Amino acid sequence: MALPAIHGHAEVRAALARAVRSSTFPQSILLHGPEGVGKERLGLWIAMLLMCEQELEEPCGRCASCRLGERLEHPDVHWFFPLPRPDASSPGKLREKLEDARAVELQRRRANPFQEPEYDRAPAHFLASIRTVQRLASLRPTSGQRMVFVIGDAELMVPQESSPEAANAFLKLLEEPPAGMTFILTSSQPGALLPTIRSRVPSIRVTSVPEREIHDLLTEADLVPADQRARIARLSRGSVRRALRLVTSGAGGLDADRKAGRDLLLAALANDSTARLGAAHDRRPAGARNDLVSQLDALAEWLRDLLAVASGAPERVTDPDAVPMLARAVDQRGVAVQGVMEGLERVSRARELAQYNVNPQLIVADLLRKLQRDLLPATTTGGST
Amino acid sequence: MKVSITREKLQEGLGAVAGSIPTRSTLPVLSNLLLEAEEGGLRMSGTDLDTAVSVRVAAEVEVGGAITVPAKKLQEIARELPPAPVGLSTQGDAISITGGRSRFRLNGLSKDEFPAFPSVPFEESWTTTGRELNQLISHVSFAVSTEETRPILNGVKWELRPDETRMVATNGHRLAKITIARSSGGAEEDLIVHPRALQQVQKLFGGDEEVQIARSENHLGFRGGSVQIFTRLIEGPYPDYEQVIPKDNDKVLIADRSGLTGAVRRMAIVASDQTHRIRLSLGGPMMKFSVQTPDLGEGSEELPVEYEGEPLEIGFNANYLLELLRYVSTDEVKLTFKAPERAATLEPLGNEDAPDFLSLVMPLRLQD
Repeated sequence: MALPAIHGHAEVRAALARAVRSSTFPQSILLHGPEGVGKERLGLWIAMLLMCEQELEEPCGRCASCRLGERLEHPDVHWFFPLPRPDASSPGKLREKLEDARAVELQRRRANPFQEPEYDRAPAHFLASIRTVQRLASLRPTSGQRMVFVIGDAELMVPQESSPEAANAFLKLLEEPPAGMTFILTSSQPGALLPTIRSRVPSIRVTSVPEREIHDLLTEADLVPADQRARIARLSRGSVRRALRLVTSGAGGLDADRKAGRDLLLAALANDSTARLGAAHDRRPAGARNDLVSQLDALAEWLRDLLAVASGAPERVTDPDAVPMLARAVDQRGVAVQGVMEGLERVSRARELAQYNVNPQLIVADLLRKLQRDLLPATTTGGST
Repeated sequence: MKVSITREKLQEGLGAVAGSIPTRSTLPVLSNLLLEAEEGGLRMSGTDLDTAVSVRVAAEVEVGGAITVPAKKLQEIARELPPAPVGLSTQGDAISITGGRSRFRLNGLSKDEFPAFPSVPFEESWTTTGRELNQLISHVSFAVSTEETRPILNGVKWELRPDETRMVATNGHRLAKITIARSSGGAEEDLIVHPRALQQVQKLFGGDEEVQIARSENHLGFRGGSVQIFTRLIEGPYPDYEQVIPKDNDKVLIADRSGLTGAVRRMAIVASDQTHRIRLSLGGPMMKFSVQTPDLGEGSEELPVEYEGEPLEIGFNANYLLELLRYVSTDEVKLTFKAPERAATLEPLGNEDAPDFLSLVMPLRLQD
């Protein structure tokens, strides 16, 4: 199966194409922006544009290079993405196993480019993978003049603060890039990249994908019935990944995170402390950092929707079906604009704590107690809960 | 495609290309080999994108055509077929293989899926013989670095000059260099070639067989008889190795090669598993070898040598010395030294026909 057509980023693509055609495209570039908006897909698009035999504003899609690129089989385009660390007895074995895993994952992505990978260990870019990049970069291209490396989630070259080895090895390549090499890094957390890498790589911000483009993608891919596409495109908030998650989570149109976010909001709006403590108690005390961060992001989305209703703009709510529930909170419970804005601040601080690995039960219990005070100041009797 | 071929010819062709088929690859089609039925023969090709091998074997071709088939399965089938002519014919993207009363059908992929072979201008080639290539490669390819930190040292430097040709390899601790006269002349080139490709060259070209060699911007191609080998060049620059070859080593030792090899091999037994360090004490007509490894024990030996120069105590990795000694063909060897922390050289001595081979080994620091 070929890669799905690229959607969105029209301005960025036009600017990049101009740079490619005027031979001013840099040897390395960082595409950064929100999660799931298609940064790696854009990276592969640039790779195809650089390799295309026609000098057009888009990859022509017909030449041999484009056809290989669309099948993820171009011998001079190397796509590296984070992978879980396999067990291996030596650095050489680790490199081989990671290459095997990359081959398997590439094959899976060729077969089903819409499905998210599922790993049982946290994926990262390891030193062994960067050694493979170095080895490939030391060779001349298979054909033509150029080799392109697309390195997704590049911030995972530093999986933990104390392990910058992979990033430092990659830095060496950036310092003295072999002729004819182009490195395209992508990251949704550019601040986590080594400063020495960031300072060497010009960066371009990639923003969310317009709702209409996501609708087009869903139509072309024919993944869901036509009557659900508009709703999913709206709920996706410009993230292709979120749209695809909504597709996989079924016709209900609410993915697991969004449901969890709604439950958190309802708990905060509940009259008694039992619901809030119950919501805190429902989660694991440790090891759920990523889950909680995503759920807090979803809660923030619900709060933004609540803000839209409270400020008299219900048409801006992501999911129109949720308007009655939000309107009840505003009309009957007296939720005010100021309170929601303070609530959003609190969620943002809780998200930071979650990233620092604080106990999720404590974070949620504290957040819900304070959120209730922000959202329902009139009914709150005190801070004793 | 419809072809009849002897089982032996099929196995011969498969054996030749097998080394270029990768065991793992991010491109699934590379685990296939390309079969092309041409006038009077069957061409088989395989590639891992770094090295590509193509070989033509005699076959009766009834209908021309091409297909790619899973290399490993075809090899296993060819190995087990009875000794009878083998029939190969394609139906769409599948191939049927018949031999004796056995019949197989393998799913393949269209020829278009297979990466195009590099185009190398053989009309601008230079020629050499399989023997010359073998002599060059066998003397240096062992010294190539297997460390991944400096990919450039994973290759063999090949220098072609109008009247001589030279290969050099090093891992930073030891270096091997061989120079031989260039029999047929030709253009000047500086190339860095992966030893895996050179191994294929050693395997597939031998004796006085004439081999044409040509390069394009990215590839080097070898062509001789029915075989073609292409390899992707490693991007330079190679370190300036001449700088590390000592010119002022003033202590000279001449020793019997087999005596020296035996002594080093015996000392290596009790050397540390990590450093393989042995000590050489030079001065006078006897060279003393000694080794002391805490927790294991010690050993010593003496060997009569010719030595000129001040006494010297120097340490070496025994494995590096043994590796270098293995590629010296003369009965005597000459070693030169300067100081305990400076590089030593080792070269063959005595036979005018021996190739101009020089090797260098860095010493190890002695602890006391």
